[in-house]
Amino acid sequence: MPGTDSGELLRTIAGVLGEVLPDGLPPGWPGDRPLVDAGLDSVAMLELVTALEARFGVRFAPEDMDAMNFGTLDAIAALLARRIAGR
Amino acid sequence: MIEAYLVHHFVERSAARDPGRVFVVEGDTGARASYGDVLEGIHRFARFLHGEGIRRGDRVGLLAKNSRLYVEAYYGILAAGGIAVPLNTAADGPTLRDFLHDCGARALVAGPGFRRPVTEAIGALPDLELVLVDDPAAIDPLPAHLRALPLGAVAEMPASPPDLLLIDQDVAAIVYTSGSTGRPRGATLTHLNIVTNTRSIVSYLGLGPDDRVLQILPFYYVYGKSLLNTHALVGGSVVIENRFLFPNTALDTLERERCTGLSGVPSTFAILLNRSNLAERELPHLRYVTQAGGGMSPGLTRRLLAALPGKQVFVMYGATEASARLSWLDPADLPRKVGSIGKPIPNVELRVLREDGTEAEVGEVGEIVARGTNIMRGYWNDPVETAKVLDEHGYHTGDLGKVDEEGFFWVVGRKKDMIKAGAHRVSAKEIEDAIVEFPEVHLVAVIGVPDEILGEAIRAYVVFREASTATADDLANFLKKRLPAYKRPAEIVVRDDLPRNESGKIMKQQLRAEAAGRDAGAGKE
Repeated sequence: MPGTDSGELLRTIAGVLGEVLPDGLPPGWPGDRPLVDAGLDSVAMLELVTALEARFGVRFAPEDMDAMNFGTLDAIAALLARRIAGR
Repeated sequence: MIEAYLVHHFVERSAARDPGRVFVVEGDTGARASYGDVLEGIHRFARFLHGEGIRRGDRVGLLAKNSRLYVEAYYGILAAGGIAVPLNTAADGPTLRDFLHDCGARALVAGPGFRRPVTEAIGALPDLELVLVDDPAAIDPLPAHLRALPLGAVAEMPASPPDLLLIDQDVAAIVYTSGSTGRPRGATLTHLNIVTNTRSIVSYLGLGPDDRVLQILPFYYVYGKSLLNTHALVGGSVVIENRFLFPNTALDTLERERCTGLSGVPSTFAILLNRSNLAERELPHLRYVTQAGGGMSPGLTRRLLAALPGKQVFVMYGATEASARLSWLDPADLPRKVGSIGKPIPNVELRVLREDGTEAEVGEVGEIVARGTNIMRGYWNDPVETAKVLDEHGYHTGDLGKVDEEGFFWVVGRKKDMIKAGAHRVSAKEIEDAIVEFPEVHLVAVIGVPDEILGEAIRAYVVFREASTATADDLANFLKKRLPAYKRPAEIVVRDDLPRNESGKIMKQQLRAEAAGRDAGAGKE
C-alpha cells in the first residue's frame, strides 16, 4: 500500500490522475488548481475514485463526490487522509 | 402564427407566446435567461455574422461548452442563414482542423477555454476568414489572412434579425461522425430534417411548456442538441449542468430546479447508479428519463428501473444521420422488452433487410434500414461515402438487427468495424493505422469490448517485432501524440501472435469471443 504522509498522498493521487486523465496531469500541477482545468470529467472521475479505493483500501460514500472533496489535489488528499484515519 | 418550419423558429415562436418564460438556466450559477432575452441574443448574433459577410449556406464552426452563449450562437448562425457546424469539445487541434477544412468553414465561433485547440486548428485553412473568441489577443500566432474578433462585440449589435429568404430545404447543420475509413464524414442535415425529428420526439415524450430537462449531454452531440430543440419547440426549459463529474451536485441541481426530465447515455446511468445517492432521493418533479447513445446492459437497465420507481424510462435509438432519433421503447413495454430499441418514432419507417434488399422474416437478422424526412441529405461533399449508406431503400444504419413477432426491434451487432465508446463512434481502422506507425509493431487488431461505463471500450491487441523490447506503455505514450483521448485504446494487450485465417487475415471475431469469455470470467456484465 502507498505511503500515507501528506507528501506521499499527493504524489500518489497525482500519479493516478496522470493515468486517468485523457492528456495526463501536467508536471508541477498546483495543489489548489481546479482539476477540471486539467480535463477531469465524469468518466475520469469514476476511474480515479475506483483506483484510489483499490490502492488505499478505503471506500468513498456517494456524499463524498462533490467539488469540495474532489475539486483539487489538496482537497482529495485531505479527504483521503480522513478516510484512511477512519479505516 | 405561422408554424415553425426553420429550426430557429422554435425559439421565435416560443418567445412570441411568452417572452418572460425561462428558457436557459445555467446550473452552476443559477443564472436564468428568458425566451425574450435569448431571442435578442440570437438576433444580435445573426446581425453580427451577417455584418461580417456570412451569407446563406456559409459554414460556421461552433466550439463551446454548454452555455447560454452556445444556444445564442447556434440559433444565431441559423438565423443568419448559415450552416452550423457543431464541434466536439474533446477534439484536439488537428481533428478540429480536419472538420473545418472538410466543410470549408468561413467562420469559427469559440467560447472560453479553447485557446490551444483553436490556435492549433486555424493554420492552413484557406476558406476560414473570421474567428470569434473571448480574447482575440490570445490567439497567437494568428494567420495573416484571418480576422479575430471578440465575442463581446456581438452585444453591441441591434437585436433585430437580418431579413433573409430561407426555406426548410436549406442545410442547417453539418455534424461530423467517423466513418469506417476514419476520415471525417459530415452528416448534412436540413432544417426540415431537424424540425421533423424534433416534432416526433416531442410527441412520443409528451413534452410541454412545463417540462424542464437537466442538460448534461453536450450540445455538439445530436442527442444533446435534440434536448435543446425539443424544449425550444414546446417553450420548456433547459437546465445546463456542466458539473456531472460530481454526480450528487448534478442531482442537487435537478432537485432545486424541479427538472421533469433527465437524459443520458449508458455511462451517465452507470455513474449515477454507482457513485451517487440517486436511489435515496425522491425527486418528486422528475417525470421521465431517456437513454440513448448505444445499448445499455440489461443489468444496468433493471437497476435504473429499480432506482426510479414510478418514473417513465424511455430507451431510444438513433443516429447522427437521422438528425437524432429513429426508435423509442414505450416505458410500459420496457420491463418485458429489456434490450430492445422499441419501435419506430412517428413518421419514421424501420425495416430489417437482407443483403439482397429483400425484407427479413420475423426473427431473422439483417441490416436495420430507415426511411423518413429526418434522414440526412448525405455526407458533405462526399458522394462516395453517401452512396454507401443512402439508396432507394433509405438510410443503412450499419447495425444488424431483427424484429420480433410484436414488431419490436433488437440490435444484435454491427455490420461495419466501428466501436461505440461512450458518445463517440470510432473507426477501428483509424486506431490501427495510428498504431502501425509505431516502428516496433508487427501486427495489430483493435476491437470494442463490452464496458459497463462506456458501452464499449477500445482494446488493442498488438504483436511487437521479434526481439523488440517495447512495452504496452511505450505504445500508449506514442499514441498520446497521434490520437485524441477518446480514440486511444483503454487497454493494450501484447501477444506473441494473433489468430489469422488461411489468407493471413486477422480474425477479429475470435478475439471478440476470447474477450467476451475473459471478461465473463472476471465477473463483468
